[in-house]
Amino acid sequence: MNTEQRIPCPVCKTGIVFEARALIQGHKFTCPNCFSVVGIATEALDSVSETWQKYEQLKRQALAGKNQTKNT
Amino acid sequence: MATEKKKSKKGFSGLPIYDIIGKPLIAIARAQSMMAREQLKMILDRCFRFTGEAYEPIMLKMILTRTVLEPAQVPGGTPHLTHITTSFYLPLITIFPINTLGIENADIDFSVEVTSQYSTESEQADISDPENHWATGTGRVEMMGRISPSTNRASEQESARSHENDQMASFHINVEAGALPLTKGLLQIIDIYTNSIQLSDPQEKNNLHQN
Repeated sequence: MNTEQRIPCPVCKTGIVFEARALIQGHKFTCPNCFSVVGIATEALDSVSETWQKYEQLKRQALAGKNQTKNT
Repeated sequence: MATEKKKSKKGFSGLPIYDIIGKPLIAIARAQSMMAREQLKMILDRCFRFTGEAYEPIMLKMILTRTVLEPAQVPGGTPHLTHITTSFYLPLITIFPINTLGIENADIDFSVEVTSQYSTESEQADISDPENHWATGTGRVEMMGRISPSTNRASEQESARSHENDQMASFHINVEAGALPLTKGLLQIIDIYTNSIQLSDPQEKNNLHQN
């Protein structure tokens, strides 16, 4: 399954491939066509980081169901 | 209207086989449903804001930096590169890889001991030919069973003895959570949001269109 994420460049509409975790950590990504660089504004990093942690927690809870043995 | 009556019954212990097989599957379906609900709650709580009438997406401020070549200020001068920084807003939901939660595979392992069986039949059934009787589906066989104490055949007898009195039995459920595709509706919403991304500074937008 293709999990590659893209956002369209606001300048030229070319898809910018990004990795969500890196984006939230403050990394920037470059448009392959017009070379514009996009990243999350510094003031928004904290709130999005909190949301990401909540998301990761939910994912861990889902994975915790793996390899369960149930007694009847 | 056909009514059912019991033809024979031997003993009474255990559960119907379909119940034993079905319950773990139902439990998995419920777990999937709970996860979907949690995911939806997370999306609505964290990626949207309820205004009293509708959910509005929480927008994330993004910074865009691009380099432009500016002509020389004075005749005969050299053009120079300038970094222009502007902002745009992106719905938070568009950056979350939310298609990674879901039960991808479930492996259930257990053995069933048939403890008793009985059959039921319709009053309209032809009971003269037992073979034909079952083949035409006018009758029904119910099998009762219980989960074997152990699925390991080497230690089956010993395990059976040790579990004989306490009625304990176990089955193994191996659940794997993995990537599942998003629903078409959610994909459509994300597409709409993603395609409506535009620069928030009108001056900058004009400059870009002129370029």
